[in-house]
Amino acid sequence: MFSPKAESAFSRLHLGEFLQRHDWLKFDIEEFLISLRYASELQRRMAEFDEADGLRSGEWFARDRIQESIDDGRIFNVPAFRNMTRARSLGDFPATTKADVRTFADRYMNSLYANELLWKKLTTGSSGPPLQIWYSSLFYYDLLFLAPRKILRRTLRHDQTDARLFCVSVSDNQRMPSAIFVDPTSDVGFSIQIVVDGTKPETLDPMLAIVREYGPACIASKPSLLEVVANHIASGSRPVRLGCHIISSGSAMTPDLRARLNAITDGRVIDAYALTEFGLVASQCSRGELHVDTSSVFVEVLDEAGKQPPPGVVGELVLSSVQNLAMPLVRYRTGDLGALARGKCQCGSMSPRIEQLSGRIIRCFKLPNGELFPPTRFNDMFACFPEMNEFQVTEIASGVFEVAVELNSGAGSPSDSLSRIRAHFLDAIPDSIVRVNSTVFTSDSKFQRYRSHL
Amino acid sequence: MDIRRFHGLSIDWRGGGLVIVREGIAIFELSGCPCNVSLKVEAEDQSESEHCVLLEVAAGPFRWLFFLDFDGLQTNMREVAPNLRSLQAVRDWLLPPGYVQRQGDIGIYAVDINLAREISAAEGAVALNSVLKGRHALEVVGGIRYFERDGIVVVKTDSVTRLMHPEHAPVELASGSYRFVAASGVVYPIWQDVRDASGLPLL
Repeated sequence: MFSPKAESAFSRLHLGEFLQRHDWLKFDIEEFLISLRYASELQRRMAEFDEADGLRSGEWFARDRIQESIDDGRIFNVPAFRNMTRARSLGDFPATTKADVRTFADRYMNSLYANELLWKKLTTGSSGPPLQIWYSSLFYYDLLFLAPRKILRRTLRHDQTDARLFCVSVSDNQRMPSAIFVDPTSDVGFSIQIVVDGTKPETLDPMLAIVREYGPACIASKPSLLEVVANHIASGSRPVRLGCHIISSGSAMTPDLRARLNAITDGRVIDAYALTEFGLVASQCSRGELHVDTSSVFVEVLDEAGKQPPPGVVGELVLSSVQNLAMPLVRYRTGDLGALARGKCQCGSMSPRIEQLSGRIIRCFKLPNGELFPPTRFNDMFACFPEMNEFQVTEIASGVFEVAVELNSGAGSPSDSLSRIRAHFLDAIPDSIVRVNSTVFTSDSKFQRYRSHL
Repeated sequence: MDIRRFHGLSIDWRGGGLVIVREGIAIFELSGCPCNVSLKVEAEDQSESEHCVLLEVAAGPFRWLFFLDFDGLQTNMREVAPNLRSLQAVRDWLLPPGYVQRQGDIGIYAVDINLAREISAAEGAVALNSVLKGRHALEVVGGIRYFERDGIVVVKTDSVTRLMHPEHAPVELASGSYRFVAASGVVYPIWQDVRDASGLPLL
């Protein structure tokens, strides 16, 4: 039923025994069987990542792929680009904004994928209401299996292929199950995702038990949850040091958080820059520089006039990629600011580096009882309250919050909507003071959903 | 022959593009094509309750052939093989001749079960549902057994069985062994198989 390589992986990794012992982890066998079709292509993409690292300055695989797509006309199967048949290079395409994709999502879907299996994901909505993003199967498995490998390969220059359990990712998305994923290439061990409740640190204990027993190569999560992990370990009765690397992604990691994570692990603490729309964009090398994955994404920096500023000058990061064949995005304005640096890094890589990256910082709120509360818990607000266009949470003082909400015409009774939103907050953070007000937000690329005055 | 409307479908063609709209939603669209779009239609009135046409769309080297039918309740649009030349050829292509009954786009064929191996009820139900797509349902009063041969699932019933569908009249089948076949072609609008990627880490 499985390929010999997959069967070998199952027996080598003693997956049956692992699944029996941890039967609370879901294993989607259909998803695994589909992934087997893409094993060779995933290996090719990983090899291309390695090759891209050694390219001369100025060479960029991702840009070459985009140009090929323009030359052979494939890009024009995307309805939004269909009228640009005179475009000869990437520079001929206008910038795409989040608002474009939010309003006309279907126009950014490749019509060649009309009959194919697709995967969908909403952006986190930390910089505006969530966008619906569609992935081809290959790109979904690329994100799932290759992203952590690329991050470790960038920093360590190797995969740690001997680790039976490769990656433990920690999530607070209560709508997803804790699950196990088996790499179809068998080049690394299996990975698991464990869902915790950031407001209940004791839910981290099963994850920590698995990490201690199986010694994964890495743990991956977003900064606010890693802050909860660090706090939980530090507040334990006896000192614990993890033996694995820690990957932080999803929002900016502060120096303070890095220091706290360094204190709980013997491995490296690695920052990565990734977007739902593109997957992994860049990750840190052994020297701490944020190198772009040039095999996958092409990065431009543009100023407010849409022009390229002088080297080293901060502008808006504009990304292009055709790695996701179902929804290739070109000249996509991220709203994140940074500068591009070229030339050889001290780590030896020639890949361009993103400097002065100014993305969103999402810190945990500190409650009066000393507990940390990850505000991304409220990322479900758009799903819970469809009458809401936007919201912003400000921590005024410890345990005191102001929530500004912009309602749309779907709100039958605004006062009722605001009451229910307040109840939703109090349900998540009992014993807190929450003021909910109605407002109208102006469009601002610097908008931050979660803020603190502390 | 020009056609702009077909029982709730509007077909808007203006040389450089084509949009087919049903209930306010574009279900097929060609735009920005660097060549001309021409329409050819072959129509035959079947009865007052059923009206079918073939709609041919040509854009440069590309051809599409759509089978449009109105069954008195709703208008359906299905893409068929572009080389077909008549409504009868299309019907034979959609469902091979020889079915004992038909319900919408499901043909029911009487078959024998010689050389077929019996499979479990669970396996059989899953295999049958992949054909019926969850819209048609088999209402079984007596016993039912499932058999498989060369990937084809056969249902054997020992009593009268009904195939149900919310938008079609029920179809009654005498006891016997049957194979269910879904019509060929692509139905528009296309409802894709979509999985949830919310659990992706690192994003």
